[in-house]
Amino acid sequence: MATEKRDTENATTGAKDELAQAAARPAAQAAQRASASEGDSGRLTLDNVSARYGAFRAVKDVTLAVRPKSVTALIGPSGCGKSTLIRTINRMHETLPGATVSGSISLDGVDLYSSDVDPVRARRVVGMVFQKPNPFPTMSISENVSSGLRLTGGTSKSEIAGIVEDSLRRAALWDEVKDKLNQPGTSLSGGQQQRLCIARTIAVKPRVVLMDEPCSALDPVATLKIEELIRDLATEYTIVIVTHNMQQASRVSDETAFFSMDDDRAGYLVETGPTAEMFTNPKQALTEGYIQGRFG
Amino acid sequence: MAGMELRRVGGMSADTLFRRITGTGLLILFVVLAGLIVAFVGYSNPLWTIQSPIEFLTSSTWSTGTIDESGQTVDALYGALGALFGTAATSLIAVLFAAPIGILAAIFLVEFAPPRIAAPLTFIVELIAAIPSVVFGLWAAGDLSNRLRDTIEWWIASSFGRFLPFLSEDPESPAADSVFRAGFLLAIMILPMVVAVSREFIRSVPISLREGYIGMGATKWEVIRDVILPTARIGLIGGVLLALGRAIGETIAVTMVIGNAEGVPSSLFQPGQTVASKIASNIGEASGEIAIGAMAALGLSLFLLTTVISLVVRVLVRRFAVTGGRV
Repeated sequence: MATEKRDTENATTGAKDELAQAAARPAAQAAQRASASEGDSGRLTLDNVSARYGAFRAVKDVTLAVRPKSVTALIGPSGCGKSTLIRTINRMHETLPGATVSGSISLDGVDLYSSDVDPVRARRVVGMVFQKPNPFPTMSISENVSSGLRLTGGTSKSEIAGIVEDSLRRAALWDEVKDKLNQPGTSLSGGQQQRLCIARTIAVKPRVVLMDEPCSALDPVATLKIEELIRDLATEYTIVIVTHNMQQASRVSDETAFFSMDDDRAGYLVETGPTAEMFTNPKQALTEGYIQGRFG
Repeated sequence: MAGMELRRVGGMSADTLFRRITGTGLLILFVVLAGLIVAFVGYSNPLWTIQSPIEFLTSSTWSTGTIDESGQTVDALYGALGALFGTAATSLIAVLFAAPIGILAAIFLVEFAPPRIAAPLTFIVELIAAIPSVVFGLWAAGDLSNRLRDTIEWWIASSFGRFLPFLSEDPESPAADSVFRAGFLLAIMILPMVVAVSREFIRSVPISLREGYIGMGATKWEVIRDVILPTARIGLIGGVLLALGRAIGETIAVTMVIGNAEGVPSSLFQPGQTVASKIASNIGEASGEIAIGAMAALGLSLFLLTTVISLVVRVLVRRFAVTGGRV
């Protein structure tokens, strides 16, 4: 029903249209970038989300509202389903055999799990940075950054070069790599590789950037750089970050969600709130115990 | 007094003893290899008294000559070009079919088959690899060869034979055996090896790379095309070359279907011979040190060819370990 409005390209396309449009059109990319600056601010709403691996429920009934253009940290002990939960947001969880999701996750009012949403396109709007830096080894630095644009298609060579530079600057990597854009991405240091992966993710102008323990494989100096970058990116993107490092959560995030595990080893949300409040005055005793290092 | 447990066994430490025992095993291998090379060079030497190695490699005439009044053998010429051509043609045909089919099958096994199906399918592939080559030869000689002639060979000949003489076939009386059919049989025989090696290398592409590209909004096909195949490519090439080596050396099944005709055939759909099949079918009649020398020269050329291929595979796989292993 919404698709017929698509006939004119400058129609005020709703978020629903854009995600539901499975067939890639040259104009889709431009429309997506244009619309990102308007009403599609990147507001994520998780409603009763459960995630399973076969019969095992790893995440149980999580309801969480993520504020747009801010950093939300997911913290909690190992195995409490933080990484699984973050992977449901870009529909990555379901790519594993036997993995299923129930409940609903909506982005700017569009249910990402609705039957007319193409998960492949959803992942272009919800980008992801992984635990281990994973630049594509057969692609150059510049090709790594442009990989998403080339997948979407419809971006000219000259435009791509500009976006590659912008994205690398945005990821605070440009000065370090501008003279070796054609070298393999794997030739960089670990911290540089991770910033390359961030540049690659933001090159397609997603609304949400998910980060699954992005600094856990990095040294403290590289970690600090990434954290500065995360703060900086929060002016433009909604960022959800999983971290094991509570200092990191307190340094980078605006909101913190604390997770724990119940007796069936299913992860659940204990409480959520502004980070400053969560770290100084948590409501739940469980949160307080974890934050003070009494367990986990 | 020093306890028994502190005393050396036979005057040397256990480690030294064990090192010598294992070292002997390796030494024996080297002796075998050196012995083989020395023997073959020695056997082939008499041949070079009547002709040059260049003649051996470039002539397609294989003649044991005639005996003149004085009892001397004259006009003998051992040219291996026909056999070398047959080996090259059959192995390339084999790779041409087996490489794409095998890599596609491996992609399916790793990327698409559910684990419950992948395990039995992999087992079946291993079973095919274990079938003795004489069984494949019997299959081909019995039935498969005619079926190939009437289907794929006929289709190629009627589609391209008019413009490409080396793909032509007389529709009235197709040859009973052909180089093409031997190559196709080899394709079937090396297929399991291509699948098994490709599968390993495709599997070795780290999941973090796959997920990275899926996370960029790539479809499964795009992940295979842009990440998995490029990352695994050196290993895939290595696997195909390994299979090529096997095809080059394969003897018995080829001998059963290629027709063992002398010279370079005018068409791939004519009978021919390979280096290996020539040795197998001629060794019984070879008498005199020159004829034996010609056999040894064939053996040496086969040995050299497979050695070069193994070396290339080694270099490629090492390069894969350096570039593909780093993520």
